Amino acid sequence: MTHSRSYYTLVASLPALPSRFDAGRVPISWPTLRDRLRMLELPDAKVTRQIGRFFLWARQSLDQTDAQVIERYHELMRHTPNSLVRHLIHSRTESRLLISAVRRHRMGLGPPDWSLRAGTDDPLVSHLKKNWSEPNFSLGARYRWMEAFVKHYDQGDMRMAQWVTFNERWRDWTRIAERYNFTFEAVIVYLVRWEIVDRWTSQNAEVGKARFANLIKETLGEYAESR
Amino acid sequence: MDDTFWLMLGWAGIYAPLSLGAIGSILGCSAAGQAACGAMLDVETGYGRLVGLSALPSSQTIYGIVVMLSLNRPVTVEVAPGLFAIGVMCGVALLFSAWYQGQCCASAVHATKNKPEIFGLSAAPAAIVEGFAVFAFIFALIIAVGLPVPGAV
Repeated sequence: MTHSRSYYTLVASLPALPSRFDAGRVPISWPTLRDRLRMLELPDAKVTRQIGRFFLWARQSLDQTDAQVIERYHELMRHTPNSLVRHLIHSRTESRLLISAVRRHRMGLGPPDWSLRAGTDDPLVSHLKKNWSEPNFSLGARYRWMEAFVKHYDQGDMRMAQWVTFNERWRDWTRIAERYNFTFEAVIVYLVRWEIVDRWTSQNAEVGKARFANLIKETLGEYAESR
Repeated sequence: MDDTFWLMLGWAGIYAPLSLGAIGSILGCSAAGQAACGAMLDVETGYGRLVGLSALPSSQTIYGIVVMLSLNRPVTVEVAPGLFAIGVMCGVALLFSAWYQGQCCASAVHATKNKPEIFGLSAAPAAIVEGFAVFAFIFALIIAVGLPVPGAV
């Protein structure tokens, strides 16, 4: 158990997030949020940067292998004493790897061979190997979002598949948010929830842009293509 | 045991309500004040009531001053244990009430910032905590009346 610093000014300066991640816009832009995060003490700022590098899609290197992601996961878990941050790293990596398992399965590949437990067999991977041909790998009871995710994935509706994972994550972290007030954990929980809203709304912007481009193309026809 | 020790405890008892109450007010006002500063970064109006809320935990210092004055008397070995017990116990109650009231105020600031219409209700928990400080304060005064005043006729 580590001592957690209090961040009254920082937490009170953050605007409330919407009650649903898909029901509004991001209440604070990333540049402003980054400015506010300068109030974090150095060790906490370092932890925040590390988990940001690990999770934020915009900061992901496209050519990193599964092994590199797992190695980074182990490194972060070794150096992170904060139990909430450890929970964040573990739960996000686990759900990311489950999604990767669904993709592997649909691509006709075998079960993954990574392990989230350093030096030992991962019980989750062992379970996947045993239940590779079962619907939802027989994990539907443990991971309630799996069934809906797989259904939308198989229908090719990636947006709804992502909504399912975001919704599950949002519910979990909204519940966790009720436990913390003005500590570093409250900042972490806010960032996790902010990232969900940000990713969902920015995805909407991309969909909007694509729809706008299609409309232009339909309206202007060949002229649009020649431009 | 040396009389000096008992006399020291007596003097500590006289000063404890003020010092412990002040420590509590420092912690409470600091927490609530920091929250008010943060909230001011995010709102355009209502700064005054945010700062007002953050000053609530200062009342414990005032209660401490009054209790200290009521306990203040010549310290003797006979009266020192009573002074110590009343002063320290009252001081500890004031310290914790101010400290936790500050956290209530910080939460009230945070809640009010997002929903200004709940300003009054959000301050209710802080007022309830204040009530306990008032109990400790009043009953310290009542009990202190029973302590003998050395040299008094």
